[in-house]
Amino acid sequence: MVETLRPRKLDEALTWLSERKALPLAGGTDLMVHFRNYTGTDSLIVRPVLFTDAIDELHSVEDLGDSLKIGAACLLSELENNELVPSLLRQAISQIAAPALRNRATLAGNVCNASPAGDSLPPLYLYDSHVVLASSSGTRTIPLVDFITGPGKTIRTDDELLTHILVSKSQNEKIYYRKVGTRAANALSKLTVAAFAELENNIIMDLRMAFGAVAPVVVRERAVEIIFIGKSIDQVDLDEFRQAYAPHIRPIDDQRSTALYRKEVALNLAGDFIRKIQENL
Amino acid sequence: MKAEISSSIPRPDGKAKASGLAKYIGDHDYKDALTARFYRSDFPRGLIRNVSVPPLPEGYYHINYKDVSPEGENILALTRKDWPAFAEEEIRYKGQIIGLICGPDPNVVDKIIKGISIDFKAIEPAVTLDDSLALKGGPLVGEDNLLDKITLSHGDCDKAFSEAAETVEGTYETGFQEQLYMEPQGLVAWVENDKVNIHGSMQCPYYVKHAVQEILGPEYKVRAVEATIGGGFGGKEDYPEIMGAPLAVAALKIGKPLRMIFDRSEDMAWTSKRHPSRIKVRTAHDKSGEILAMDIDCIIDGGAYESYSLIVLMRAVFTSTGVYNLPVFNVEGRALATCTVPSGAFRGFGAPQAIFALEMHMEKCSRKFHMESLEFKKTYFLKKGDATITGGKIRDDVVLDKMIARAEEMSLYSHKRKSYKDQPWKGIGMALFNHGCGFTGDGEQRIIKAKAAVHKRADGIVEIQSAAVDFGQGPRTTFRKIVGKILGIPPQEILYSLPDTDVVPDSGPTVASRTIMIVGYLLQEAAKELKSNWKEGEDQRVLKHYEMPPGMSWDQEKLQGDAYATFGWGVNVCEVEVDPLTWETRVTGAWGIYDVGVAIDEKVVNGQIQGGMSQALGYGAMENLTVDKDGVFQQRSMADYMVPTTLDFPRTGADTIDNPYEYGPFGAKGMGEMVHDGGHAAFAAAVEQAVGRDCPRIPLIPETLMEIMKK
Ligand SMILES: Cc1cc2nc3c(=O)[nH]c(=O)nc-3n(C[C@H](O)[C@H](O)[C@H](O)COP(=O)(O)OP(=O)(O)OC[C@H]3O[C@@H](n4cnc5c(N)ncnc54)[C@H](O)[C@@H]3O)c2cc1C
Repeated sequence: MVETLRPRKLDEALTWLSERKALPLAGGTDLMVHFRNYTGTDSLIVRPVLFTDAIDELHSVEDLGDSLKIGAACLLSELENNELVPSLLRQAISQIAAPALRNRATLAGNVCNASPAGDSLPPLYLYDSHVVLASSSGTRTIPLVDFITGPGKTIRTDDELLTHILVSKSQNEKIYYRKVGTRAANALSKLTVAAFAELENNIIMDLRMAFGAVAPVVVRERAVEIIFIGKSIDQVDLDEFRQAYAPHIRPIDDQRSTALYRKEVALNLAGDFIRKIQENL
Repeated sequence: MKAEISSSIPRPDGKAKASGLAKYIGDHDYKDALTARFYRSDFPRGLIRNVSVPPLPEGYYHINYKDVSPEGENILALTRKDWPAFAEEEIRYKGQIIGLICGPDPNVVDKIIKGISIDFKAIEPAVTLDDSLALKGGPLVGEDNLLDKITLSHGDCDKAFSEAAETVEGTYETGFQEQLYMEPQGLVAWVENDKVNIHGSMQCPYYVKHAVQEILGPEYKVRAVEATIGGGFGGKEDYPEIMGAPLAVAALKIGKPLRMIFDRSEDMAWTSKRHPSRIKVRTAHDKSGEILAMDIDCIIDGGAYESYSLIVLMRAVFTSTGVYNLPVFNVEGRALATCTVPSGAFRGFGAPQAIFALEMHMEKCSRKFHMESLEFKKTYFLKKGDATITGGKIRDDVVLDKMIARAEEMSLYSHKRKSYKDQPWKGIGMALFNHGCGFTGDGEQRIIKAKAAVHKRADGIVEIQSAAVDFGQGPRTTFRKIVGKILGIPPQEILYSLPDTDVVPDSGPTVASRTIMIVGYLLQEAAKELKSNWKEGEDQRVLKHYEMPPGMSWDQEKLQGDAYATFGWGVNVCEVEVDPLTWETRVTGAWGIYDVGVAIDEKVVNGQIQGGMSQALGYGAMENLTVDKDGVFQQRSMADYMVPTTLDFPRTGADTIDNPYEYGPFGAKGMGEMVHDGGHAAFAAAVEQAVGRDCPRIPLIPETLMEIMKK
């Protein structure tokens, strides 16, 4: 039998994490799959499991003015319907799995799982999001790019709990999100592209683009973005834009798709973003 | 006007299934049953030198081929006796069953299995059709890896090709397909009063009984009992025998009930799938484009053992000219052995593969001769009195014209076909097909010899006795309606218990679109006889035996005559949009019009049409199932194997055209499989129009379409 802990207070949770080496479980939609074993046999989980859902402090979405502080127990479906959340992120969330799963799974779980195909990650990378990690010995706030180090890998130590995700509140006009999944719903991503641009008199003031599932971690290249910032949008050459990203898209073949397809389509969509803005001018 | 019997009644089994009250095998509480699990080869091909099993704790058992009694035979009694129930020395595919571990605690059983190690001499596996043709690693079967070969020809094909003004040639390929029934495979076996009992999820209780009988030997009595079954699609035609035979050996040896319920991943990795195919079609044409002859080379991938490959191959070959009357043809069919899980039964049974090749080739020919494909096809439509590909006869009216007219009306096919010529990335396609009902050839008469009975108890309650199972396709509704209508009894009041081979006569397997037409007809005739002899207060039972319809004949040696008593017919239309950035396809419309004789229940038929279309479109568009270098399926979970959700395809616009069949109950014919015969071909034809290229390969996933477009 797996031992379960369901703290109501954050302090209690942190104590259990450090003393009992407990394993955090939010929605469990990754964790349960990860530890699955032959039907009818006992769970492979040996550590106590700590449920985060009863901790009140982790349920709120706090408006900090420029940014939002999203609690680790917030459900995907809550965020999907919260108008404070940037619409790009909401779009991405609304295409995760299906309603039943979104009523159970959390954004924190998606982040901590650190899958290259985690759909919330490309928008979170665009907004330079941060995560807040807490342990009995203190808290630290870390940029998401530094938090995730590889497929399934983060710098979180066993006694830390991710308590909040800090996301910019910006609502951009020119946003782009495209998930290429294996089917219309309940599908993992073959690749995703998230992007936004800020224009002033056709001059690109800001441009950001991130790709999911085409490399070990989300691809976001500020150096490439900077090349195009300051230019007039109608002077951006689509081929040049694609070429700038090509070396950074390094996907693999797996049971869901091919490297060839992922690369080609990621670049097609990158170009599509620019073309759509140009056509709308 | 639709027949009166067609109007629907609530399904008598519907409430229990929807509410969760129905008991599937996993819900039955066999308290003292031990958990039984197979262990399998962890290498694709070679010879076992030694199997070392960790020491077994008290109460745990290891069973292998040595436990088969001398009176029995360590073989799976499918169509040919080539597949040992337990591998002895030779291994032909990764995952082949070597033995069984049983015991009270599933965790301990799991641990023992994980601790087994096999010492073996490896042989290079032949994984693909090309490997098999190249005899990689030496022949797996015979001298040439041929499991089966059949040919059919008529007229002088060579002459026609030598005189042809033009020839058109294409190679068409289809992939594996997973049945993905909701309930995984599961059986419980125990011995009671010297009788071996098998209870579980199976399409063919009498097949299971037979297979168990063969492995145990003649002195044992065997009984197979059906539990409510959660889907099959053919996947529970062969596998319960493959699973049941070794399980019975173990139950007999150990003397305790054994329970074997597959985990989804074991089920997806190691149970039978649809045969992949590679079909080369060549046609000889005169200057105007008219087809003078058709030459077909049909290869299917049988996997490591025969299983049902010959029968699948026969259906593929006998379906290979479809709804067309082509007097000069040559068809060669081969089933090749590869080091993969033996391919097995799946709704359509060779027909979806053959129809894909044929319909895509007809599209290709019509493009070559700048004709509208429907006009091109129409020239060759079979009609009543025409010869079939096996020299039999089309005995009934063919109502294709009416069906096409209805399809046009519902889908606006021709109108859209024309307008999409000027609209990039949009297309619409149509596929036409027929499906022989019942077993191929004289199988019903020679092999199956179906019997079914209607029993009236002294208290007046009427009971249906048949081995046909309801795995969603509706006999619990339709059989009751047939018998009830004849006897004037409300269908819901008729008893029809889950088949038990100790109680019900052998009405044959629940396969091959035969249930309504063959078994339903026997029940209708039994009910008629009962009615004419009805004696109040008496126990009466009328048993009917199958008889071939008059005039039908079949020569199994020459494969000549009436391969099927009659056919169901279908017209499918599919409309798509293609995204040129991602090569994703979106089905924007799907239609299916069928001649099922007469629908015994409109809703049951509609359910088959909706589900069959989704399954066929899934087959055509998304259900990618590939093997790795060891021949192991790469998409072994529901996260990786993509069956359509309700969001993937629109609801199918469905209709039927009544065309009553004399030897079917109330005029009904088989239809459970043909709803899977054409959707994928209509889809691929639509994509061809949308992209303006040949799309000869399914599943036409975006990766494949991109490859086609970049060529
Ligand atoms: C059918 C299905 C479809 C899916 N489809 C998608 C999809 O389309 N897109 C997608 O991105 N994902 C998908 N997923 C994956 C999964 O649902 C998501 O990643 C989800 O967001 C995980 O959230 P959760 O709350 O369930 O995480 P959990 O499973 O509870 O946790 C995930 C990991 O994070 C850790 N963790 C959780 N909370 C904390 C915390 N507060 N502090 C520290 N560690 C923590 C856990 O220990 C675990 O390692 C799918 C999963 C399934 C089963």
